[in-house]
Amino acid sequence: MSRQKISEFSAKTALYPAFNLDFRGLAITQDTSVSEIAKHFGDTNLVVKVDQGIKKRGKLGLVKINLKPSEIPATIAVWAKQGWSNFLVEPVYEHDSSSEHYLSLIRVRTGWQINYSRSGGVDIESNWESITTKLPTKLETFLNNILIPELDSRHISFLEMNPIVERGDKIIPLDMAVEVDSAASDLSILPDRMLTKSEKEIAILDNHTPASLKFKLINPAGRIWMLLSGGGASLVLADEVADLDLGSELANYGEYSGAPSDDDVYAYTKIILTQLLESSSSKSKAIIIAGGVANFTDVAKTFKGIIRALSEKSQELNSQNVKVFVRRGGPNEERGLTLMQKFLNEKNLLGSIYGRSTPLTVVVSQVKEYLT
Amino acid sequence: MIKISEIRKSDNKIVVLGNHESIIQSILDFDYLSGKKEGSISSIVTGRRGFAKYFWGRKEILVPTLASLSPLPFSLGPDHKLWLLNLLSGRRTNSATQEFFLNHPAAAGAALFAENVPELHAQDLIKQLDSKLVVGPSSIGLLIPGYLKLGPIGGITPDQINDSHLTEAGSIAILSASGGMTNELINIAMTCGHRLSFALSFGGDRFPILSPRDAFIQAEQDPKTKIVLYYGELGGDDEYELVKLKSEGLFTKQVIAHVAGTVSSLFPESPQFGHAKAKADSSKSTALAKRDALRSAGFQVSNSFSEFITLVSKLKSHYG
Repeated sequence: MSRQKISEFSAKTALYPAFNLDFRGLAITQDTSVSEIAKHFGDTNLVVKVDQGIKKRGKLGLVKINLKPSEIPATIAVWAKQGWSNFLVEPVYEHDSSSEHYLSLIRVRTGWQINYSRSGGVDIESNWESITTKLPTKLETFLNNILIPELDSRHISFLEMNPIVERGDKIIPLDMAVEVDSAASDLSILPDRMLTKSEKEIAILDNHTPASLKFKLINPAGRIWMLLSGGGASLVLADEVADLDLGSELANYGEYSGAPSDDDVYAYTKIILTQLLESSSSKSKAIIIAGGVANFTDVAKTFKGIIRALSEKSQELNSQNVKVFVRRGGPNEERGLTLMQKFLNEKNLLGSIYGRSTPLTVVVSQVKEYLT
Repeated sequence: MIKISEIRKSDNKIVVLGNHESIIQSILDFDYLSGKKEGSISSIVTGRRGFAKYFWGRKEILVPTLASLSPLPFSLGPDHKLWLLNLLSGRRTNSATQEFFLNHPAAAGAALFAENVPELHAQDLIKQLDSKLVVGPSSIGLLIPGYLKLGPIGGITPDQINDSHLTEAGSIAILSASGGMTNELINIAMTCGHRLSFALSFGGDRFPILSPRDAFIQAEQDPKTKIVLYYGELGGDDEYELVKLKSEGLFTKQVIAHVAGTVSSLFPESPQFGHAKAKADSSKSTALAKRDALRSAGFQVSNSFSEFITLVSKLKSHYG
């Protein structure tokens, strides 16, 4: 899988014990009442932040300090209007800004890349020359003996703390950004901000199959819709669309791979077609069904799933002037292509169809011709 | 680490971990079509002692199945090289691979097929197995035409093996981050009349056990390889290691390289693409920055995939 962000609330809940600290923060939404906040914190000064994995919150005005519980709803109401939904409340930690340090740990091939600066805080980017890999001895011991084993056991790949402050024996991270290795970590990852309905549906589908089904809606009014297979080929084909100056017409990025069943491919295709047909554009549109020469994904089997979904929508697709452009190779290539060609011809949906002997990216040029 | 030229001189024997009939059969088909006397699949670890039926040409054969990774039901001679094809899931890949090499310390290497191998496990494998040739995780394997097919690389049907001339040796090496694109590059090279010296996919994970740098060193040291076709993606900094290799004079052969992922500039922030590594966390790890770095180091780099195909088609045919 990949590195994914988690919320600061989850990060501190998971890691504060390693620092020998009690985490007193509270995760809230717009629905959280003042009395709930007051009950948790009493009448102390509080800091409130948007907690959705966004960087440079301080500079973007997404952190407010020295608020009383009663002042919080008005603040988050403003943020909610901008589309934010999850927030973190903590007691203000009084300290001198000159005591703010910077510390980050990034998992690399041979271990960890560790960056430290005595001059941390919001201006770290302009103080980047102060970053060093040399750590104070006490901090280094803490990292090697306690923090890094903790990061390993939780499959954390990235931890940035800016600032950290030291008080007595304690090292206190006031801000934390964490990315986990989603292949193994049990910490819950942040969802992408505001998934569309079709993206959500495909994410659910993806969670229920060992195969990989990915979909990102880029431009719902776009005229180029892609049903691609393979992590590499899908990237190459999307690049080609941008390279031919069709980027503004690109409706989505996505890929299916890992030998999905024909039911998986059917459900995946149907969601994408439904999204396509909602498009307000009255101009002609193209669907690119393409991929490289598969090593072990059965072309005929996956194409059967796609055909089933296309056939349910073939009339609507015709009335929106949709044509389908195909390029695919691999096991059962000929049978798959024959099935697809016959179907597309019958339904008057055929743009063009090719196997392995035609270069991968040719379909994109043909789509360009059809659309212009 | 074993060199590609040594593999060509050895009698290669594969232990398969996990069951994936079509992949195993494709390896036997490759061996048969290569004119070998017997198949390279020595045994399949299924958890049960017995035999599994496969085809050797048109003849049915029985391949031993094992309850565990050791002992093996055969003894290895001095010409034998032992390989692991690990088809287990991501969570089990590390422990099973470590166990294999612990039991068979003389084994030459492995191909790790699973996606979702934790980064921590990949780091562990890198530390423990730096003297072995281990491709993956999320690799479709290693192919040396006529000698070794370790994984589904090149396809799983006899038609694919024949159509792509996978049993005939040539002088083009294919090194790729993506399984599907490995096969696509094989297809392009074949269409242009070339044959392969070897091909491998190091996989799209963040920490491939055999790094692109290691793979380039293999290509440099292989006397049969004249040209490298390279496919990389946005994310990570492996290409900067290739730049270093070139500037240190440790790599001298001709390369045609493509780095995919310029489409990420259509998004406000680089999205996560298909492979685990395929996300630009910094300006240095974008496809464009890596293309520029490779180009300045003296590699031939395409501006689009269509251009990559054109560059390959302009190569003089080194085959035959």
